[in-house]
Amino acid sequence: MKSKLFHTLVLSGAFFLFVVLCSALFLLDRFEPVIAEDIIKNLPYSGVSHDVTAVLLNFRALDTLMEVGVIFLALMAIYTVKPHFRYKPLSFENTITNTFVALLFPLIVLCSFYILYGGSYQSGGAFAAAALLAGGIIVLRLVKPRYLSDLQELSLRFVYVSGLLFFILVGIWTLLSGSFLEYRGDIATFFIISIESVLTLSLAVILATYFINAVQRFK
Amino acid sequence: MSIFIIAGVAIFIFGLVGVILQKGFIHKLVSLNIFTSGIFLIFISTTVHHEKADPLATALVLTGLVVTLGATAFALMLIRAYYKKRNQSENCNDD
Amino acid sequence: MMTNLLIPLLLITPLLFGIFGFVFPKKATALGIVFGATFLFLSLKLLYSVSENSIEAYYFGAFLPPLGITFEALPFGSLILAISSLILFIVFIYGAFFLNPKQSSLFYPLSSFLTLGFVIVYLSRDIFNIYVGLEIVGLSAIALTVLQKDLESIHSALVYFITTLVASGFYLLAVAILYAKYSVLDINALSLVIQNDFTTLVAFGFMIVAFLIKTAVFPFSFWLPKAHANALSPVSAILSALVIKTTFYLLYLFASSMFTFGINNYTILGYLGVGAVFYGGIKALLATELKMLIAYSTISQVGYLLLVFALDHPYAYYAMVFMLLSHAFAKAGMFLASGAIIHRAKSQNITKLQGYASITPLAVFAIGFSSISLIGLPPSLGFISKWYYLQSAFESSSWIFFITILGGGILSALYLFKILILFLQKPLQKIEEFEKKHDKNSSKIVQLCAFALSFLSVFLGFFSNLLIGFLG
Repeated sequence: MKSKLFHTLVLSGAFFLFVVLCSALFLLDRFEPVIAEDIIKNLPYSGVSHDVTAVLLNFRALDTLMEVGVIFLALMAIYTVKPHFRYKPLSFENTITNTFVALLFPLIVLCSFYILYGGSYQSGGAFAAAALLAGGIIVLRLVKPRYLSDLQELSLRFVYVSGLLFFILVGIWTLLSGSFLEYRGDIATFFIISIESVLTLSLAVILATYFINAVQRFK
Repeated sequence: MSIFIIAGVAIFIFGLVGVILQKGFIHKLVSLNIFTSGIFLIFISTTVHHEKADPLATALVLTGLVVTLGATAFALMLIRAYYKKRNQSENCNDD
Repeated sequence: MMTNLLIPLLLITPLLFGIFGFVFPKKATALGIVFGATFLFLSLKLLYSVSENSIEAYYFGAFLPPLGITFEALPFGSLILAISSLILFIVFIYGAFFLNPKQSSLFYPLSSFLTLGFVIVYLSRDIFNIYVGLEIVGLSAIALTVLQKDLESIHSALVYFITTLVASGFYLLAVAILYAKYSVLDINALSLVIQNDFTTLVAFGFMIVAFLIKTAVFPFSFWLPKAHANALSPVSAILSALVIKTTFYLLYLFASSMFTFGINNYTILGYLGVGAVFYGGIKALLATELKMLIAYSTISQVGYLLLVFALDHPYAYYAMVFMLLSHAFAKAGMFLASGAIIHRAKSQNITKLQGYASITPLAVFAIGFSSISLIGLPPSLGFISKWYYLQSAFESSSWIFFITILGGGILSALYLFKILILFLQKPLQKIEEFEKKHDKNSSKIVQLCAFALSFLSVFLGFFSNLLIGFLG
């Protein structure tokens, strides 16, 4: 009884919200690209030739730094509930999965490099490459659980932080001679490529860790 | 572009209703992801100019996607821990 | 130290300490205490610079707005940041003696990241940057809540999590609408170009709802009592005293700088505040567990903060700031003290806590001092806040709010005196003394921390003129 009333209330509220939001958005005039003009003007000095990459890693680099911070924070948050899970591999050795992974994983690494370095002139960049590489690591871990299974906890934690730490160190370096995360021209290209490379590796490992924790064998 | 705006609002509303009305945390989490997808679609479709998406909006949506990813991963772990603990206390079972 | 390095340092310090606290978990407590002290020093320096008017806006990447991100330190924001750093430092010391090593190894890094979120929320002038800051605050708050690890905590953390993510989504939608309409993300730029039309009102409506949900204003307060009560005591202190205030600060900032459409439109927020004061007060009176009582008290006090939107009087602003500061200290002290008591009693049930004034005297004394400020007795900062509120309500002839402030004070007195009288009675049965000396010492230090915070909430009442001068 009460549930039906609640359902009706929510659904009618949702319909009302739909109408309100649609009308609010359709009342908008044509979008004026104020900032986009600034982006085009400053693009030659940013060190890359793709506008989205320039925004992410030069003009609004602080946002990207905070975003990496969020990913790392989510990892720490997962560590608070991690002791609940023990990792067990999901499969047993067989030829099909072994061959498939042997062919697939190098291909994934190659593709993620392409996406990473293509980010300077087309869509791509560190996050997409990290996501792909993380998928590859998860597949590898599922099929061949003994690879890298004797990694020390300390070195693993160091890999987690390396991306964020390197980004901050670049920022501190630029802080000494100007503003935090300020770079222009050729030095900008160098900084951006190095930050993205370290970030890809570290983020790939973090993203893989998010999900490998959940693997468990069901009897 | 208006069809994308309507679609974005519709996805947003579906996700929101799903979060409120669905029972079970996994269902709520999936609805939450739909909800944020709707917001990103609204973000991009309202800022199109010269037949391309606005680069700043694209960068913001990329950042938002990654932030949502981190939150979803953590939420998944929490939900798993919750159900595991609940089954443990009900059945006194391992695993 | 050059003042133009201060703002980036405020960002770098929490990041670095959080990272190193995570990589070296055994050193986490030591790193946490050092971080607490360093951050306290930095934020006090910021406060001093703001009072000297020697701090300027910081342009990250040396890009001027609207392209880049700007951070600016204003009086209100830097004051809350400084208070937060002081409370955090004392809670960190408390945690060193209260938490076990496994909890500490995650508590200090997570709190460092929480501090990073605070810096972004209180100093950033970019509305999307603030969204990322809100996510950082939300994620670290949830993770801190789950340190407790039992079923109830995880359930209440999940409810809090889903709710806060929906609220963040509303805020992001508002950012999208504002960007689509005005093409800028900078608060200062937006305050110049913003117009009072339907689309902007819809965007601001979403923003207000997002902030109301995150600040646990009645009727969106369903997630707070269990989340705060089921967490570890230092975490409850941080959540109730500091995390709640971030979104209220944003609500006030946006309403007063960007959406300045006249104070009359915000009166409804004042009425929500009235509801919150009475709802929280009555539920606190009916509570049977100590930390639930304190959590409902938070809901009630947050109601007072909302009254600033309904009272169009210069004193209301100072009243709100004083209420925010005094509540932060008082609530933090109260949660820390309750942690000490519950640790001894091994139960949260109020009836079992009879007579604890003779067992943990300093903790009960701390609760007493917090009560002075929460009820609003002179000379505490809470009293001055309520006095200014009453004066504003009287001079604007808003009798509903006048009665609310008085009624809320009476309700707080009822539920706080109830537990204080219970503490002061004879204990139920003979309680054995603490066996180990270590436990006795840590118990003393733990209670001392709680008392320090509660004492400050009263003592700061003497400095109200100084604060008014600073706020301008």
